Amino acid sequence: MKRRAVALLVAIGPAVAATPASTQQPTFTTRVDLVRVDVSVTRGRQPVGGLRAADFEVFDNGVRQQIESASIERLPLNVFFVIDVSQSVAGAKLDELREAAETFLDGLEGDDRAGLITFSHEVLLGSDLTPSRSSIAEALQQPVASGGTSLRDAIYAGLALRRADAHREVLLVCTDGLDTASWLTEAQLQAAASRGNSLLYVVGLAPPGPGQKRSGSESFLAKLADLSGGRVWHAESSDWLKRAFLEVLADIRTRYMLTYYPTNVPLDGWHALTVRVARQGLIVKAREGYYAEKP
Amino acid sequence: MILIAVTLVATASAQRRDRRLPAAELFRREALLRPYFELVRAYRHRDPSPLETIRNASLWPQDRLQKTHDLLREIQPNIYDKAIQPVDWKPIVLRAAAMLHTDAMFGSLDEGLSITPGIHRAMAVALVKLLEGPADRRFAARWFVVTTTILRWHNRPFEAIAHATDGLGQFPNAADLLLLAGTLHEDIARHDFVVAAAPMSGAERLNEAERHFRRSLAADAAQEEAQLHLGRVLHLRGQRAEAMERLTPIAERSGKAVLRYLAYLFLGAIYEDEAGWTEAERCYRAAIELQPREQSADVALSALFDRLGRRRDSYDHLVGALKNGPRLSSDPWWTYVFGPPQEMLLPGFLSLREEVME
Repeated sequence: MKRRAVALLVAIGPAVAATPASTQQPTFTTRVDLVRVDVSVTRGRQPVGGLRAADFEVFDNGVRQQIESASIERLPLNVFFVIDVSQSVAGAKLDELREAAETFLDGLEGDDRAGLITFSHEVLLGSDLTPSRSSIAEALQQPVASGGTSLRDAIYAGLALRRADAHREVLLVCTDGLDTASWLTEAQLQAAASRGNSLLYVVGLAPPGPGQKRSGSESFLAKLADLSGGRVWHAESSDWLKRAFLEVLADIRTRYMLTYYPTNVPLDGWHALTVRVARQGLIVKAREGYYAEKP
Repeated sequence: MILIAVTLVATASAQRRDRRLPAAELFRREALLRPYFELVRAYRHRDPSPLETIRNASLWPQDRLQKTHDLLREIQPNIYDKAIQPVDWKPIVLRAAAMLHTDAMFGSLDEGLSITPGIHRAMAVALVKLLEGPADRRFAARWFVVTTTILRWHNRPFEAIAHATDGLGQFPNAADLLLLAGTLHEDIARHDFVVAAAPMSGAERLNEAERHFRRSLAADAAQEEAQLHLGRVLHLRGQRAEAMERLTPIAERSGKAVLRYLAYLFLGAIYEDEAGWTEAERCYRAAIELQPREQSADVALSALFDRLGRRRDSYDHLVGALKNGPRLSSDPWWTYVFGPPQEMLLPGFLSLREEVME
C-alpha cells in the first residue's frame, strides 16, 4: 500500500504513546496518517469476539479501504461521567445514580482514569480526569440535586476536556431530563462531537413508556451516541441502572480497533465512515465519520 | 316642548324600574353570592380559612364556583349598578376576590393539580375584568403582569400565554405585558418538545414573539429588554443585520450589566454565524469581562475555540470556568431562559395582596 507522504491531522486515532501519569499535561493534536476506528460488535446486547480483519469492511467516503488490523484492544480509558443533578433526580434517584457510578468505578483498572462533570442549569467540574477512584467517589457525594438542565453544555464540557492521548475517550452521560438551559445548540454540539474522538454512552433514567413518544432530547442523544459510535441504554428501574453501567463498561472493553491508511479519498474535510461485518444478525457501531485537516 | 320633556322623564323612570330584577332572581343571586361575599370579607381580614374553603372541593364544589362565575359574567355589565346588586360589590371587594382566587390558583399549581388552577384563573380574570376607574385599572394591569410572570415561573407556558392574551384584551398597549407575551412565545419556540404539543410551529412562535416585541417597543421605545429580546429573535429568524442593529447599542451603552452581558453573548453568536471569528471572540470576552463568574459566555468562547481547532485554548478556558462554581449569582442567560427568580416575583404579588387587605 502506498503510504501518504503528507501526514493528516486526523481527529481519529492518536499515534502518540501514552504516558499514564495523572499529572501529565494534556496533549491536543496528533499528526497521523493511520486512521483508527473504534468499533463495537454485538448480537443483541452481547459483545461478539473472535472477529478478524477479513470479517470487516470499512468505507471512507464511500471508498472501500484495506484494513491493516482488527483486534479487541483493552486500551486504557479516560471516562468522564456526565451526571444530571437537576431537580428531577433529587432523592433516591440520585443515590442510585451514585451507587451505579461507584460500581462502574470498581470495574476500572490500571491506567484507566475517570473524571466527573455534574450539571443542573449549571455545569460543574467535580473532578478532572484522575486515576484516583476514591477522588471520584468522593466528588460524587458532593452534588445536591436542584435546578434546571444544561445537558448540551455539559456534554460539550466532556468533549472539550478530552485528552488526545492513547487512552480511549468515553463520555458516560446519565440523565432523565430535557434540556432547559444550555447555551449551545444541538447543531453546535453535534459539530463538536464530530470533531472529537470520544465515544458517547447515554444511560437514560426515564425510559419512554409503552406508546409514549420519545422526547426531542432523547432522540437527539440517540443520534449523538450513534454519531460517536456509542450506545444508549434506558434504565427501567434502579436495579437496571447498575446493570446498565456494567453493560456499558463491558461494551467498552470489548470494542475492536480497526486501522487503515486512507486511500483514494481527499486529504481534508469530512470523511464519512461505514463499517460492516459480513455476518448475519450482528449490530455494528462505529463513529459516523471524522474530520481531517491538511497540516 | 314641555310634553316632550315629561315624556323623556317618564321613559327614564320606567327604564330604571325595569332594571329592578324580580324578587326571585334577586334571591337566587343573593343566595349564591352572599356566602361568597362573606368568604372574601374574611380573606380581607387575613383569615386563612377562606383560601382553604375555596380550594376544598367538598366545602366549595366546583359547580358552585362555576355558577358563581357564570353569575358574575351575567351581571358584569352592570356591576356598579346598585339597583341590581345583590351584595355590596365595592371595587376593593372585587380586587380581594380576584386575589383570593389568585392565591388559590398558585396554591393548586404548587400542589401540581391540573384542572383547579384553570378554574381559579378564570374566576380571577372575570373579577379583574369587572374593575373600572383609573386606580382599579392600574391594579388590573399590574395584576396581569405579575400573575403571568408567576405562571411562567411555574412552567405553565400555555396558561401563561392565555393569561397574557386575556390581559392584552384589556390592555392592548401595555408595553410590559406585550414584552412578557413575546417572551413566552420565544420560550416555547426554543423547546421542540413543547412546540410538538402545540398548534403553532416554532417558526410561527418566533414570528409571534417578534410581533409582540415590536408592539411593546411601539408602546414604549425606551424598553431595553424588549430591544434585547427582539434582537435575539431576529437572529433566530435569520435577520442578522437588524438583530445587530438592535443589540449593539445595548451591548455598548446599557446601564445594566446583565443586559450588556446578554447582548454581547447574542452578538457573538451572530458573528459566529457570519464566520466573523475575531468579532465573535471579542464579544464573548466582553461578556466575560462584565460578569466574570458566569458560565454561558465561557462555554460559548470555549466552543468557539474548539470550532477553530484551538484545542488548548478551549480546554484551558473551560477548565477555569467550570471550576468557578457553584455560583452564588444567577447567570443572565438562565434568567433570560427561566425568567426572574421566584424571590424577585414575590414582592409584586405580595404588594397586590396587601392592597386588598383591611
